[in-house]
Amino acid sequence: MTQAEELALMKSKPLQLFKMYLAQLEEGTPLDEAQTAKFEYLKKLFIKDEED
Amino acid sequence: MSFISLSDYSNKVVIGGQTHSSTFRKTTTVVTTAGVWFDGSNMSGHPVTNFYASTPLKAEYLLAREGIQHGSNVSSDQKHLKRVTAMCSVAPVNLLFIDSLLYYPFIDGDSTDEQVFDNTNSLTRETTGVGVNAYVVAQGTYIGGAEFFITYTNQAGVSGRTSKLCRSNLATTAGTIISSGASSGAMSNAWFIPLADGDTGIRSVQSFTFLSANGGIFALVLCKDLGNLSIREANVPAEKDFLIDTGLNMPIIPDGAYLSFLVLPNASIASAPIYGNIQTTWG
Repeated sequence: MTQAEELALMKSKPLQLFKMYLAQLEEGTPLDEAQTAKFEYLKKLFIKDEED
Repeated sequence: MSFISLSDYSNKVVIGGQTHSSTFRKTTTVVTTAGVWFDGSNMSGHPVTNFYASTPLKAEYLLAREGIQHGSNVSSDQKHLKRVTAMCSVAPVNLLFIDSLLYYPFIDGDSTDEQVFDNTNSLTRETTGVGVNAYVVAQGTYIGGAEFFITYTNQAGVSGRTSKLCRSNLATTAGTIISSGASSGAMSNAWFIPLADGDTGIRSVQSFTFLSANGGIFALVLCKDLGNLSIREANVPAEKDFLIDTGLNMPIIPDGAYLSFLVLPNASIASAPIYGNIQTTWG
């Protein structure tokens, strides 16, 4: 999937992309820089910490 | 309030203890390009790495506690950047200290549509926009070579202003400021996007447009230039004392400022940490 396709998916179906990144990490494949930026945003969307 | 004399400064800072010191240590594994500006907030270490990770195209703030620490809020006093010290195993390296005011993340580098920004959030510091500049930083790898411009509201509140045309460099790495560098050719620019003639700052940005596909994703950042420091020799600490070296002209750090720096290396600084400390004073 290209960066542009991932960006579009992040806007339209963020949970799907979040799950895709989690699966990628579970497989042991690190995220690249662009994926890391998107993953950090998706974490804020789907994982609430105490300060939230 | 501020300092009205050296005696006043001495009473408040030396005797009164109105000063704060903190350290930073930032490093990147990315191979940076000589003559191309790089975003130090994107580097790992401390303060924490900044990914510009928030809602796409919506104006957002960076938190002061995630930038270089400059002390707690001091209103109604005025806080100043008194001194910076830094060193690196690669030299020369220029550091430009900035207060990042607002950013717009996840600009699509493959789209040639006008990408319209959400300005629900607006400047909370430097609110008129005077002296506020914009730069574009890569949030991932990119191809480069495309021309782009922004439309913005200037320091006088006039909307619909259009920046000069910029061209993305070919550095391709995350953290790179894409409007800077020798590989930009005829439209080579500094770290900031050149504004329309007569404008002295940006209050908000309305849209961003690539004229051709550039690849990658990007954040547009609005910031205030605080001051620079040049590291001239490898592994030798460089220091600037703004009180002494700039004729008492210490930069002002507003409450809530997200303090960071941009880096202009003369060679790759991959795995070459930049570390140092800052001192702030207030009165």
